[in-house]
Amino acid sequence: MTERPGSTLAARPLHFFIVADCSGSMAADGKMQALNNAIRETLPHLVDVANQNPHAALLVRSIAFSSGARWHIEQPTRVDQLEWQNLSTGGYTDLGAALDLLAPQLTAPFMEERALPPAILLISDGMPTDDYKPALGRFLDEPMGRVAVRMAVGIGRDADLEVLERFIGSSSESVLTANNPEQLVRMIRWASTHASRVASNLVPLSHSVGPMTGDEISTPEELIW
Amino acid sequence: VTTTAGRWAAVTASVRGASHERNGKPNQDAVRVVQSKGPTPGLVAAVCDGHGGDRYVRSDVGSRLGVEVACEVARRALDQLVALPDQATLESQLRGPLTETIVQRWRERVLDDVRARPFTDEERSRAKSPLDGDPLISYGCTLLLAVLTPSWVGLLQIGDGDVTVVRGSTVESPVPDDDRLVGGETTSLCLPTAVTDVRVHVVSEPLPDTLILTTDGYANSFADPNWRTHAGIDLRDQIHRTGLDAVETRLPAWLADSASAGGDDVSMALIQRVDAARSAATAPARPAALPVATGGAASGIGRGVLVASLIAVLLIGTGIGWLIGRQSDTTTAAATTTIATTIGATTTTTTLPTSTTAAPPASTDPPTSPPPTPTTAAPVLASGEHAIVFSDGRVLIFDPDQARPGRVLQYSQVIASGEAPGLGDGWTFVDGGLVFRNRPPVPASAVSRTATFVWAVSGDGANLTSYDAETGKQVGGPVTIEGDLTAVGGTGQPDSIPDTTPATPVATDGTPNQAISTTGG
Repeated sequence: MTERPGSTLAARPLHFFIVADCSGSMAADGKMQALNNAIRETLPHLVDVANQNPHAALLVRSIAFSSGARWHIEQPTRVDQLEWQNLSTGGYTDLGAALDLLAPQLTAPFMEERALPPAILLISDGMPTDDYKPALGRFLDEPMGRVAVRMAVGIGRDADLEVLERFIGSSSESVLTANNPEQLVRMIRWASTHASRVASNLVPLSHSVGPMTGDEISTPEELIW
Repeated sequence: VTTTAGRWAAVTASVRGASHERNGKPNQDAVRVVQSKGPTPGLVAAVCDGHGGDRYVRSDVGSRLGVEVACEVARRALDQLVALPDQATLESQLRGPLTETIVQRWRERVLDDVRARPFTDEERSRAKSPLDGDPLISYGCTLLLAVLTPSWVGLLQIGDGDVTVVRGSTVESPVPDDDRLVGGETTSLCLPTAVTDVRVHVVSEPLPDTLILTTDGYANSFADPNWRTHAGIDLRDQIHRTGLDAVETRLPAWLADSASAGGDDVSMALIQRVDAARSAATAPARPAALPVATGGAASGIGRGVLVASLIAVLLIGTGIGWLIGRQSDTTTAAATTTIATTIGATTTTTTLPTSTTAAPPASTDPPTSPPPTPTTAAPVLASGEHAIVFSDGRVLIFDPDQARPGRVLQYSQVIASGEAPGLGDGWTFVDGGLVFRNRPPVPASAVSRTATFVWAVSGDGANLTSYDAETGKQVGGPVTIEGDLTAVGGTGQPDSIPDTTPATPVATDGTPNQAISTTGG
């Protein structure tokens, strides 16, 4: 009998969370439309990353936060099967609510023991309107929250970069900023593919993230937002 | 190459991960098995997993040094460890001096290596670190160690990875968990806390059939969180069916499948108790002779039960025989049972000793012939009956060819010195549940396997049910288990059905480790 011992083999789940600010201010100057476009444009690149790392099963979920927070994509969805539905805007910037929605997903049974450290991309154009610090503490108390590949994109001059820096913590990555639609596409694409690639690496974030290279940073400097 | 010493034989394999191949990283695992050198025959097996992060530019070297040092230190210590008086002392020696020596030697070897081969600019560039400040970090790796002696197995673990122990139909992970090992973070030989981070466990009799030491790449390649049970039973059964040498030839391909699916390096030290494999391989097909004990006439004092003495157990089908230890002959006549021994092609019928007092016969089978024989103290099996060892050590006597045996007998003081057979492909028995493939578990206190059927004793020990070994369907039972489950030794107390989990881990150190230090896996 030559049958391989043990049960079915499978790639390790890599959960990728897109946590998007959908507050009323995102409606201004086409920011939300640009964000939807940027994410949609990024998906094929994420498929490429997934294909390059067959040992990681890239599964996307998304949280929209405004007045409170809700799942925009609740079921972990394979990136090649993902159809991005437009996010809509309206309400406050309850980041704490988003983190409280996210944190429980980082433990069993939602997060498999064999899952790779998740990748989390936070996108915001403003200051939190709820008391987000306790929620951030709870999120970072989760072991998988602590080791997650955390990246953040601030949209426009009103984005609270300090808050976004607190979210990404002490990693060598800095908060990315986007001041026009082209930059947003580049940043979302880079952050998403980079986070996925790093998280596929089988090693914790703090030991592997490098800074954006010159080519990657090079974007149009026009200030729209 | 199979490494054998005393009761143990081992093979190893290590495969580079698919992710490491894509990234140009080497296989950072190492695995090694050595024989003891002193008078005590034994093996030492070690597995190390070098950390994968960029910072750990020499973790492949650290792993190699780790298995060399661990094997050598443990090999030298083996005779002294065997001489220790009890398990608690043994565990404290593993946790203390043995671990301290391994960690100390590993550090010395690493520093020697750095002196001989200083870090290069290329390595510093790759690590994005100057490296020289704490050279040990660059060599960081985990350690799994098994010290295998004739009477116990010592297990020692620093960092992630898995030690799987298969005993009968039970699969366990006896080394205490460390809940800090999450998301690729692990404790490590390279950390200042390495000695206090160690987790140890000693496995004593009954010794395992099989031990499997694996780096975390193996566990992480399985979709099922219960991977250990399937892999453990399958590997043990493969060894019993085909032999360890044959398994060794296939092991690299099996591990390569895991390395491809999960991406990480995958390594295994696969260790087999030689006598377990031998009994499986050489046990005769049925029927086998049952030795009939002599002497020990019925005492005729008080009420009591039939106490079985020394009988051999024949397990037909898989053809595995075991001895059952004989106990004393505090025999009286509550059960006047006629059973027969099948010796070769000849069947003889004997009546077991009965009380000379007037205790009424309670048997379903009145004695036929010949009259009580004072010199026969062992139960003798009737035609078709066999003594079957169950997973908890109990022995039941019934006809295993019948899905619904006419009767099922249990004797209170029969002790199995052998072990129950494996349940075979698709079957597992975990946490009081008998499971066939993805079916719901059937509650059971003990299980066994014969040629055609898998047998489950109910949770209360009162009856026996059979299942088709191939299809998993219930085919017979429940049949009430008859027997002298009470009044052993005249105490009137219910006899103990043996513990349902013979492989219960001995005391382990539940002391939480201090201060997590993360290094990346």
